[in-house]
Amino acid sequence: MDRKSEREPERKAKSKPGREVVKITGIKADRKDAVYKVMTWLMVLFFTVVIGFPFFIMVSVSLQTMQEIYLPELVLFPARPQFINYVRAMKNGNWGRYFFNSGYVTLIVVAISLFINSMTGYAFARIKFQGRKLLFILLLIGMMIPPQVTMVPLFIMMKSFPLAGGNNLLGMGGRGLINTYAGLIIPFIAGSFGVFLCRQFYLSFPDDIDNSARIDGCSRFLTFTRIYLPLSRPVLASLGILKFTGTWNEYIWPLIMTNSDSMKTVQVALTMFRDEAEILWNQLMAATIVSSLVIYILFVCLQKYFIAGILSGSMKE
Amino acid sequence: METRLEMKKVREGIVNGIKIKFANRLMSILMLKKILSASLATIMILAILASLVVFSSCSIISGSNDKDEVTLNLLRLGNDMPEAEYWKSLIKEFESKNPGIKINYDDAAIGEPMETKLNTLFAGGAGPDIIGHGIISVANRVEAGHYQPITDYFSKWEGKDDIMESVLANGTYKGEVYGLAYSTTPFVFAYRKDMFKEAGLDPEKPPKTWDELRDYARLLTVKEEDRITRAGFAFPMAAGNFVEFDVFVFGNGGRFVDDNGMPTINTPEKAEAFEFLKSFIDEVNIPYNSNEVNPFIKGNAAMTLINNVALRPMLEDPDLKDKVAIAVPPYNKIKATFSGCNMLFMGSGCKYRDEAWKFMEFALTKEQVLERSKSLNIPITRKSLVEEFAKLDPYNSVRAECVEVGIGMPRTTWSPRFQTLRNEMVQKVLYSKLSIEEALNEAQNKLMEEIGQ
Repeated sequence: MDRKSEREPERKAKSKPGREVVKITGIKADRKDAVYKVMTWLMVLFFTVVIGFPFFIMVSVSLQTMQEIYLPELVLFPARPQFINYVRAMKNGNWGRYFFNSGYVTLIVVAISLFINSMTGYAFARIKFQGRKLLFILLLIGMMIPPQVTMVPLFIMMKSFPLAGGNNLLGMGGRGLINTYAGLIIPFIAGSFGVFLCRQFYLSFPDDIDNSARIDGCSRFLTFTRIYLPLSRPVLASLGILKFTGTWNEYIWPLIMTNSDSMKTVQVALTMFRDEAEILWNQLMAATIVSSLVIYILFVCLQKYFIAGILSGSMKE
Repeated sequence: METRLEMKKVREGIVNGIKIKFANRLMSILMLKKILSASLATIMILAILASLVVFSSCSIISGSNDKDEVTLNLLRLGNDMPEAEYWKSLIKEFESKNPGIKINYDDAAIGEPMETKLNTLFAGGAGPDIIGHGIISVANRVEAGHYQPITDYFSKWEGKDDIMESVLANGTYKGEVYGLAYSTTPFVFAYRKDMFKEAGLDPEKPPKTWDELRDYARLLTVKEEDRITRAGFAFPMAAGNFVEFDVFVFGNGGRFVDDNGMPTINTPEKAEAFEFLKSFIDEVNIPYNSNEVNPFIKGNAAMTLINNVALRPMLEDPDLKDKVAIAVPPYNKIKATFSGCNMLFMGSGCKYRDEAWKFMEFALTKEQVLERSKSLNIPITRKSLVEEFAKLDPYNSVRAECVEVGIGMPRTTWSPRFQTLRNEMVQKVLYSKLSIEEALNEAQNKLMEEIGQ
């Protein structure tokens, strides 16, 4: 319902005394609407500039020479746009490989995590079992612990993964999942937030759905896969996008888990434009833009789910 | 009749009993089937996971010791492409000459990324065998048990008498050798020849003493009304690591640590360095943060103290090449400068010490030191190469001299804290928040307090 239609009853109520009043109130309301619209546009413009300016600078710097970057005054428009910076940046390292690694890890994480998170969320929301509340509280505690705290224990777990990377059954003797795709994927496939999000979503489903499914002979798993999962598109899209951006932008975990150039992800590779004394800002910005393109495209295509994901949990339906 | 009815009831009871029994049996069979299928599914999932893990890991991971091959992990500070490429080619050459040894190269960006990675690897029991790191890591990582001494190997090394004393000192801690330098980054004094000419100064005679520096800086400063548009001498007013101040302290014969490893901040050498800087810096400087681009690089300063590597783009620029020159920084008592240094260390968990040393030795041969200076513009660290190095570039003799007289950060466990306190102290003095004496005493007392003295 837009603002105009919201005000309709108010207008109607005021119109009773006579035509004159209707006219005056109508003009006043139109004026108010116009002022409101202008204010809204000004606010939008202001925030667009504030948010868009750093992005503009990033594009501008990516097209500048190092001399222009070093100039004492700020250069907004390079004299001659240096598109070659993009070529140089992409030649500065094995970027095809880095993109493949990031893409591969991200897609697998998103696919598996959506399935696991939704299934766990479903169990917490729809199945009554002993210790459900306690388990859920433990899960919520997981959300409160910063990842830096769990980083070392998680690393040890990955290093001691049984039967991997030369390890024996007890997880000793080798390097476990260090420098493997599995090591980059496994820690991200389940997460408290995803389970929480799905649980909240499934709580809103009526009990009748479960009862009907049971009468029709559906097991729990079938109820989940045949009924709940097809209805979960909004929550899965939101979670998928958040998971995608989170995994794509992850820096610290790939940094510590990989130890070869062939396993580097895009975010780790972005630090390669710095040496002991200098940062190649133009190439760094060019590479950053290229690496962010994936996220921009995803955002443009699925922006309503992005916002839904951000707002999830803030409203009670 | 009654008997018949009773008989019927009994019969029905038996039938019902059988029915219940049958139903129970059926239920238990169904349950068993369920349990069996669930177990089978679990086993299958586990088997798939295990095979996936084994497959994915076996193809990428190389163990530390395959049957005939020793694999060593090397982690280097800094991940810029040119240096990474150099190390990869060095490793290739080494591996071809040493068929039984494989080096797994890895690197991490300077600063937090390297520290986070190294800390996690050591905490997880997967510390690298060979580590390329800076001076500031020495004391803390030795005390944390991350580095192991290499004194026994060093004492038998052919290059032990050839390595510059100042460079060797950087990797020595409590009488043991832990690290050997592969790269040095001395601070040099850079100046603009064209601006010297413009101001009537001889471009071939840069200032050698503090007094000359002050006079030259005043002459070279350009002002528009009261605003300085060109700094005569660019000096940072804020820094992540205020080593530019250290250059003056060292040039005045001062050090920040005594022979017993105690901090010596509030000594006359530092007070004199401050007095000298305060006597002219506000008249000749365009304030900047050392984490930003130096005004000298931007063409806004005639003289500065700068990291040799940071100056590289300027010296490589055909338009500026002949206008820029470098020299050993002006001094008051002793010819000295600050010099950073990256060294090769042997990780405490390294089981294959001989092989690791073999690699370190290979990376520090004269050929490799010279190769690094050619391809990466890194000053040499061996005395016997000074002449050869000087032939490569007209300013290489200056660079070599700066390495020889270079002094690094204190090799103590309190070094990171000293860095913060020193930075604060310099800023407080430069911005006149505290008097020189107060600032020196405050930094000294705080540091002493923090190290429990």
